[in-house]
Amino acid sequence: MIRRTVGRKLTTAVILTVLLIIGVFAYFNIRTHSRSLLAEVERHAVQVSQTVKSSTEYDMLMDDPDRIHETIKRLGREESIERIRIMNKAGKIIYSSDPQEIKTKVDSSAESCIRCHSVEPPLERLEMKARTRVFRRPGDSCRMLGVITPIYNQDACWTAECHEHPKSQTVLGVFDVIMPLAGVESDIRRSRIEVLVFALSAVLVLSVVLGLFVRRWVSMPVKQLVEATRQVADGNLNKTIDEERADELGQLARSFNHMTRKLSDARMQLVQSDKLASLGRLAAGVAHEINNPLTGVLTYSSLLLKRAKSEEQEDLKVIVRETIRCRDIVKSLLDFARQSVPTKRESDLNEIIRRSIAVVEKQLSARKVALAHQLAQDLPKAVVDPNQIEQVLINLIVNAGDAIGPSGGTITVATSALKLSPVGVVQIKQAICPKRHSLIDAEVRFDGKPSVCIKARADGHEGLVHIDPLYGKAQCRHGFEVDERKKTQFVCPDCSTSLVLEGRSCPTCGAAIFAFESPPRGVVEICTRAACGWQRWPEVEAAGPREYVEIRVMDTGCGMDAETLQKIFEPFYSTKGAKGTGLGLAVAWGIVDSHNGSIHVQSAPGQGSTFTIRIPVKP
Amino acid sequence: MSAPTHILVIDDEPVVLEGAKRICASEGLSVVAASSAREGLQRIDDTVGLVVCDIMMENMDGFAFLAELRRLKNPPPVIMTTGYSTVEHAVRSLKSGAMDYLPKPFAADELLAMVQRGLKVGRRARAPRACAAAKAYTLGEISWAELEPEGTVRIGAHPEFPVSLGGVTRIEQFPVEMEIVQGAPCAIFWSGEGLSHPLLSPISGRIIEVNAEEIADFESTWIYRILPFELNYNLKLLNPPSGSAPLQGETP
Repeated sequence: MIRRTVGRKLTTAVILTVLLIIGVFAYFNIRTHSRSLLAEVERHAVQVSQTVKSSTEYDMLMDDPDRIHETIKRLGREESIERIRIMNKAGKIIYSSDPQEIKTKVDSSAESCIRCHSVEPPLERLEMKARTRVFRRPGDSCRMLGVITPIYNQDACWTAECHEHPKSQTVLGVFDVIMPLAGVESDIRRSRIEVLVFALSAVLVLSVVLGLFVRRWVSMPVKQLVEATRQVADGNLNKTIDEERADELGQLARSFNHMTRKLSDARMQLVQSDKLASLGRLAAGVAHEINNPLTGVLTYSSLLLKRAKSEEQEDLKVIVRETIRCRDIVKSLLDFARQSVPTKRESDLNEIIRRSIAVVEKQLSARKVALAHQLAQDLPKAVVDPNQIEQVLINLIVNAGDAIGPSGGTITVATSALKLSPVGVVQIKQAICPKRHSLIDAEVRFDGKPSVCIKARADGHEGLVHIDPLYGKAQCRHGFEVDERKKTQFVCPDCSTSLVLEGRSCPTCGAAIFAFESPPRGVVEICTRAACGWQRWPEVEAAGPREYVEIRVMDTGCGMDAETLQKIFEPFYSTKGAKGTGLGLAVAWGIVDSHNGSIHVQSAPGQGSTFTIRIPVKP
Repeated sequence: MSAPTHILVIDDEPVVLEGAKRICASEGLSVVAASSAREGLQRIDDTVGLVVCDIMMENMDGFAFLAELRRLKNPPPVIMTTGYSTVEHAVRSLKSGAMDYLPKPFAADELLAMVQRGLKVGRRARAPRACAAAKAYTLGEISWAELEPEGTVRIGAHPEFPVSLGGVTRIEQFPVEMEIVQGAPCAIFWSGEGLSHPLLSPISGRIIEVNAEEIADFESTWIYRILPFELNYNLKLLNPPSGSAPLQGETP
């Protein structure tokens, strides 16, 4: 069965319509044509009749039958004439070009006579149309056209010497001229064949032309679209289709691309909140599982402690104490994991800062800590979760207050707006190989950010290379030592697909480049030579510098050493001993990260600290 | 008529049931054990003076049990316990009418203190009393939080709490700068029997001031002044104040 594609259906419909039109046209055309041909022959026949009549009239008046025979015989030999005969009123054939017919009688119901003799008394006048007839007798090779011309009585006739016809007769006899229609018939046949051939070739040409154009303008774009939707369904939200065309299919393509971009964004949001949700679930499961057995340990060990003799008491105290500590750790974990997904809206950050300061002010001033603020005017509103940002600020200010201590000092909160080029700011948060394996490694981090990890292979040795995910810091990498003298392959750690771009080389140093996709923002290209560190991310570059709001919390406190700085954003790391939960900065980091921002700290012992938060105005 | 003395312990973990039995037995208290909420409901009778119930159980969980129980005319007080020790569970238990909340794992004395309190409180048929202070948010009948205009919060003990202890001999307060978490202990109350009872905090934050005065009237006297960390989130989980006046100092 022919597959029912749109193209074929369209073509079939058009062809059938065309065939119909051609058919109707041809029918009428042929009919008109044959009619006019017939009319031609009729005219000719009538003319011949007249001619015969005129040629024999004189001879009839002279009553010279031989001459009449001769005339008729000669005329009858014309090619275009089949037969001429003259019949008298009674139907007897007096003269004929076919000698065998002479003296035979024709029945009044014969086709030649029936026109007039169908009524009684017979018609005396017949119009031209009625005088012609088309017929075919058995044995004829083609149809015949016959024309009857009545011979009317005239003065000259009844006054003639032969006294053949009385005055009372109106019709003396009839001329019957019969002409073959072979020519007409072959003409019509030829016409028909011509039309058929025309129709068939038209159909052929039409189907070819139509098929070509339909394929180009409909089938191929539709197939492309179907393929693209299939890929999107499989999960590739980066598939785009060519959207150059100006027509509806171009619009469809543009619309499709827009839709996949939006889907990709939505999916990323979902993945984010999914991660938070699954972290919460994991924490809950772990907590529940651990706490029940711990109950067994704690209840029995505390019971033993109550009954124990003094030597054993100390040891049991340790058990009890440490088990209680486990309980606190698990509780902290649960509290940390329950962070909610931010609900963002456009907010004035200066306002949020003023509120946070108001909360802490009185308490800090009692401890001789001055709170100053330098808030930029015309600070653009940013899309943030105000409660979460407030939480972060209070945390930072309180920490700053702690760092200052009893000797007093100043905390300054400042805001400013800046435009940052993506270099050094935008983080590669997703990276995938051509087979869509993730290249992000959360185990190895740069500045708290999960690295991009690829495998390098040379001479049978291979190892992982971890690269700083901050755009522009591709030279920061560690792992496998790449020997530049050897040919090194750079592949996906999961499927070993090569990531090197063939035929391209680094514009700076000429070495090979490798690349990976970072959905949904296209491809990132990086030079394979670590020392060069050339990097390019066209889509991010094209978006240009983005607007950020920067918040700085500076204190004149005791500062932190390099070792502490490394760890402060880690959960459960606390410099406050038992008083702190160690979660404040970890939570703050999480909040800033979920706003796609960054948080950094600069500090040195004895020189105070500055925490810098940058949040994009638009997420 | 003798006071009801049995303690009904409901938990799907056998080790918890055994442990509770042993602990109570060491003080001469008798325990009735049930391993599911349904079984627990069947075992409720006039001899049960207190229920200790796990939250996370299959089929019927602790909250459903609590709801069922409170339909009775004279329900015994309930202490909710759980291994999934989140703030939400703590606060929800108290909001749903439990007397107190005991996170797992618990030590022998912690359970005993709770049990003593519970038996003292006894069976009664009234809803948790809101704190008379119109502006205070309450965590069950354990503690309250009052917002101050400057953004700080004062917290104190609900008057019912010391009553349930049968008198307070000593209050151990946490020091300034200590961080406290909503639903977790923020102070220790010592009762006549020498048992310690933790006071659960209504909000998370940092202690910035400790009230050094002797507290006679818990309803109006605060224990701490707190710098809240996530006030809006905390307030959502507390019982709102009984007064309907709009609240000052509440961050939008």
